[in-house]
Amino acid sequence: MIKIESVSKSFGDILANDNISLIIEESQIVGLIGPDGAGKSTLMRQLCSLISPDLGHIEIDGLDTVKSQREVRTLVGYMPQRFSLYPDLTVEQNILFFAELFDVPIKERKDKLEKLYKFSNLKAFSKRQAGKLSGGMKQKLALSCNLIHTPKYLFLDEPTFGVDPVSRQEFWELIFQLRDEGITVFVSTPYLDEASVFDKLALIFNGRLIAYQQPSAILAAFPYQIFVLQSTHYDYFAQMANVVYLHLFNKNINIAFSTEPSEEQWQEWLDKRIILTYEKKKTTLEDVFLLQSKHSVEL
Amino acid sequence: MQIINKTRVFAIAKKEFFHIIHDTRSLIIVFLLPLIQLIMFGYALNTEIKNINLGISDNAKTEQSRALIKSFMGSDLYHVYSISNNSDDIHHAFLQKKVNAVLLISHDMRNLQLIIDGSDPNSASIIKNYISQTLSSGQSIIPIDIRTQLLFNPELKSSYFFVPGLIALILVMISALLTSISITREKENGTLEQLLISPLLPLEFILGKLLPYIFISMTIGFLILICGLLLFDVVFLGSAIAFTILSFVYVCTALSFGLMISTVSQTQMQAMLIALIFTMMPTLMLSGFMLPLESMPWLIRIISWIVPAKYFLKIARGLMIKGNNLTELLEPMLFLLGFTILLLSIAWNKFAKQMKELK
Amino acid sequence: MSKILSVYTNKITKKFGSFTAVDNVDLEVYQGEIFGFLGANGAGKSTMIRMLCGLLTPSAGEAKVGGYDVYKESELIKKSIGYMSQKFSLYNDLTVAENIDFYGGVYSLNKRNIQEKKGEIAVELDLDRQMNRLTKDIPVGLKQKLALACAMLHDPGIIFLDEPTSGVDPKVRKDFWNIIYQLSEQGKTVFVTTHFMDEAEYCHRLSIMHQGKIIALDSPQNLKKKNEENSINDVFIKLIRSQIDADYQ
Repeated sequence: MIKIESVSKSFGDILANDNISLIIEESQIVGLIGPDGAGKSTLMRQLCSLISPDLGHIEIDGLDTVKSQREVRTLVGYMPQRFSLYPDLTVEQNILFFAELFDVPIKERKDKLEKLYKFSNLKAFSKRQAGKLSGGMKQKLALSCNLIHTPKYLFLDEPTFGVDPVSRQEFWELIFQLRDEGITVFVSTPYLDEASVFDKLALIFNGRLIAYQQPSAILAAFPYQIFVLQSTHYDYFAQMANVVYLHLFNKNINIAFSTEPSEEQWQEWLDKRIILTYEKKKTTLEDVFLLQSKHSVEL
Repeated sequence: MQIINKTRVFAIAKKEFFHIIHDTRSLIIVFLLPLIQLIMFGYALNTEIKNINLGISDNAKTEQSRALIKSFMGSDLYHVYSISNNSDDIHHAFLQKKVNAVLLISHDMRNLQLIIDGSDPNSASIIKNYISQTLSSGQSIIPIDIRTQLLFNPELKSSYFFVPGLIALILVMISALLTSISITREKENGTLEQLLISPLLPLEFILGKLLPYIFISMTIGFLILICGLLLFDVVFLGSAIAFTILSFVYVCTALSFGLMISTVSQTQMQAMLIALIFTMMPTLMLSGFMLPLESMPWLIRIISWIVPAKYFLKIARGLMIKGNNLTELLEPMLFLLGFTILLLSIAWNKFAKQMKELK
Repeated sequence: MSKILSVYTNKITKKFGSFTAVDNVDLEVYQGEIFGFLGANGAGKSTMIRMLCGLLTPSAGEAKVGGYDVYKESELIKKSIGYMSQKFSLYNDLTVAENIDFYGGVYSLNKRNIQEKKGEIAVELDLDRQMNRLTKDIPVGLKQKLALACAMLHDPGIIFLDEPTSGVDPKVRKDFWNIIYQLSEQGKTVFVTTHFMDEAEYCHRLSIMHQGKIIALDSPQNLKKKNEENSINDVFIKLIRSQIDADYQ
């Protein structure tokens, strides 16, 4: 179990993490979602004891990440954003290097290697240089390198960045398999469609944790009904007081109201040809994201 | 062949200039480094030896021998000690580093024997030079009359030899470095791709990259010349205009070499290494700067023909010490001009090819 | 959709040694269209775009971009297209204004023209007070829009966007797509490659590349209908997987 208690961290004037508390149960995939610069990487780096919190503390299996840094590091695997392998070493050399780094007993290495090969399908490429692998395979190799010391917790910072959908799906299949074997995975991703199948999501905006729930619960908690209007009168809606969410996209207006318009109101807009059509829209994680961004992200 | 567009060349040059002035730290390094090099090399290469501890054993003890000793004592180059004519004593004096050289005057004044500490052959030969210089200039009565006359550098000042050499070395190093990094940086950052897709021609790119660095390298050239003159007490007999023209040609050669390097290297690191090695080694070894070319085997001498610094050394020594004029230095200038054209066309060609078949 | 042909290829092929990066591809893209290019890394997307931009000469086949032949008129093509890549092609150590000046110069715009454009960009992107800031210090979303503006300085009819939204968050991506729609409405042809399948749904038409060949080309709606899937993500996975299975046998 990971216990994050009132963690704050700043860099100069920037408060990257602002009083974040959350508990991550075992055998779960928890997604970390938020805009660029919201403090996702900072939180992740604190979790794997690379940097220490200014305030508050983090416990992993009861071990403090600052006081018991060494022990913590044997428990966790961390794949940073754009994790780089040694491109001139072969797949096997890369994995074995990490085995040595983490002091995996020599007797166990062979078994573990075989198991990882089986799991990642990389066996056929074991003698290939890492630099010559495709994007998806590189990702799997990076994951394998982080699994060689059998960590109990895995931290992945945007692991599927820039990888095509097929490789991405294969990657997630591996991650789900790991979860079922009892590994806890904490992962950040910019792909919201991926995030919707995780066990729980933590939403971070401006360094603050604004939600920590199952994806379905987050969607259910979305306070408004979003409508899609076919309309060219963006400005008309923009000045309405009860509009809480307004987004123009390809001539369609996505809109939500604090108090929903009455049937008569809709009819009036249709009659005046302010709108051509309107329909209810199912809330997606993107809407949750956009609603939050409206309040917190400045461009 | 397409026509070069001035706007685009200047767009590149201007942008390059902005890069340079925004990066204040590198800018300081670019100007400070040559000065530090000049000072460090300058004092390290300073081969003048002062305070030679000279033991003299006067076995003649005549008027003439005293006059001889006086001529040594009168020079601030020497500390003169009297020493007995005992070979053990002399040996000890050398071992204890009390003396660097011992002069034995035979009792009949016929014979002068000079013993020099040979553990450092370099200073040994300098000491030998000094002493024989003093011997021949003093109104001594040496049986064999050696009269050496040194042209242009009568005092054998080593700064006369290393200041022009350092200008040649530092200019070629810095210039090649500057341009070699400037293109590879664009390769690494991915901005080159954007330029390739624009109507920019390879030659425009190359010329645009050249312009601002000519300016910078020339400034550095003047800077080290002036500092060299002030710090190391060298003469400058030629004309400033001739120096401007000739160092312009030399700087262009070096910058073109840098451009050529950047077409073959992929990263800034690579470019830097190649630029440093291929400018420093030949300039130090094969230009006649440190080691006289005349004493080298013929193969090395032939290779030295393609070392640009060899020609600039002729130019710099000619201008500073001999007071040569432009027409007297036409030959080395033409060589440098030839190199520039050759290197530039190789860089242009290679670059154009890379633009075509970028993978 | 207007019927003016903007990009046309007929059996275009590019080989690097024995490796065929693009294999007999036929393409017709019309003016004002937003055309999506999907495929795994190494599927041939970049090579295809490079040929269309006049950067690479095809090994075989014919291709015309904006009416110009890719073999003989690559210089004219370069003048009539814009290109922006994932890496943000701006110079981070130059100011915003200097970047605009530079790209204006590269496309040999005159001074007055550049000044005008600078004014327009300042208004459109609300950049007025940021003109003299170093580009590395402005927010990533703004930087991306500025990169696009710089690629559009010479008012090209066709614009190639190579993973333009990689590395930016969903809000910024959505804003960026609004700009893409505006360009399309102004009659510009937009070629875009992306790894985000939700973005693929925004394109007018899509092509999916696999091992140098186009294995599917249609509107997102039709692709979903034909393959009986709910999202382009699933269509993509289905098509590529079946292709890989076919390759095995």
